[in-house]
Amino acid sequence: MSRVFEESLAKLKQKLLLMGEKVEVAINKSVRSLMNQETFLAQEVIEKDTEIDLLEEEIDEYVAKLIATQQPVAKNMRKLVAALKIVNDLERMGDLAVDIAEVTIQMREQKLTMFKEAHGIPEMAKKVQNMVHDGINSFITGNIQLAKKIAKQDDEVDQMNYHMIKETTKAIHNQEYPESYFLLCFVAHYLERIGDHVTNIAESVIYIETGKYVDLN
Amino acid sequence: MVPTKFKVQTQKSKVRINSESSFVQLETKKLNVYYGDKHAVKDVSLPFYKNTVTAFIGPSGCGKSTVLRCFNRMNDTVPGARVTGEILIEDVNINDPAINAINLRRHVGMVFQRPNPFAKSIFDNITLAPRLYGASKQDQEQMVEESLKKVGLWDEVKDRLHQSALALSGGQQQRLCIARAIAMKPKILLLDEPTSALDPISTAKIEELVQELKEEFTIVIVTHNMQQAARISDYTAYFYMGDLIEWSPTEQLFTRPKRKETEDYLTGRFG
Repeated sequence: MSRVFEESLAKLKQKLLLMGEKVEVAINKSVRSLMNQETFLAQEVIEKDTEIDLLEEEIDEYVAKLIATQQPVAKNMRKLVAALKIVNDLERMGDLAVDIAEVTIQMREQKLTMFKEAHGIPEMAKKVQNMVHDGINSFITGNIQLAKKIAKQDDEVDQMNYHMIKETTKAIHNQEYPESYFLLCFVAHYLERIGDHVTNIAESVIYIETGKYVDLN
Repeated sequence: MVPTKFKVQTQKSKVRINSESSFVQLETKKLNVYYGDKHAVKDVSLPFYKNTVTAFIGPSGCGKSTVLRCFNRMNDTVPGARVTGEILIEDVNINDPAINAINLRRHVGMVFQRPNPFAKSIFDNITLAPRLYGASKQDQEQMVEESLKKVGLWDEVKDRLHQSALALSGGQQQRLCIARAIAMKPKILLLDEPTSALDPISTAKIEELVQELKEEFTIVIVTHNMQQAARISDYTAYFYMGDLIEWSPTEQLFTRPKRKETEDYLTGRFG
């Protein structure tokens, strides 16, 4: 591998790492804004999403430039193809964090109250954040075992989502404000979708390392 | 069909290639070359930034080598050749007949398609010209070591400096020719298809070397291999039938060329 290409790949990894960090922070803040009902934090997540979108654009262009100028083959090519998919997944995760932040704003505007069933959300969010962290790490280090572990974590998140919907459906009959419960279900669904995107990243890592497409979802 | 007359389209880079890249080391203004009645290069105006690599691409006979050969006045030796316009190196027009071409070539080194070492020792290949300029024995030894190290050949040949250069492999000979070209510390290094006679491994070594040498020199390379231009240059100029069609930062030219003619050439629809 030429020195120029090696340096370019290192730069690409740095850019992806930065984007991953921003997404992790967005998820963390969006869930905190929901649980503490802090509109300013929700607003911050919405505003900062532009930075994530811009990074997606920047990385897309960078990869296109590398393909056009360095003509990568084999594993080098797989890395670039996977990077394009990963930035797309990260960008969608950022959007889902914005969706959660918008739920916070909606609840505040409509003066909806929080409810005890929402306590499952932070636990779910924590698991999802760990997944994001592991997903990015598995890409950076090329660790297939870590990538495979993500599939297991995703199953757990799916279970939590299912449990949340079940509990909410039970509780919804006795409440004066059913909108809150719908919104809660949405949030659980958004977190579950983030988990799916991380699983896609894990699939990309396995593709880079082995050249094989696997379905971890 | 590509029309024969184009307006030059250039675009400025959004990113600075390096800290020195805004300094124009070499510039052509309305450069025209005629071989008898044949108008081989037409109104070419181009900047070459210090410590960057500029690649010339285009089909055979497009004028890319002709332009390169203007930069060390090699066209002077071609019967019937006439060069008009300005070629400025640090604001001095080297196309001025008053400029001493021999002296000019101290500042503009050149390497050709086929390795062409002299039938002498490795040491003599590098020191032949410096000796004419009165370099001392000590200076010569230092020059040999320095330039061979720069081209990554020192470790391979340090024990046989006084053996014939012709015993080296093709790739090593070409690196020796580059060492010879940079021994006099020129400002500009011209490479005319320097890897077209080499195998892929030797080619990769030369490409890596070009990346290292640009830290010290301003490099202009003519290449038939457009992928090579993409890999190693900072700027690319596309020529067709003596016209400069497009000059752009390489990454832009290869991802979103401004002109349809360039796009057609790069994608193999033409040429």
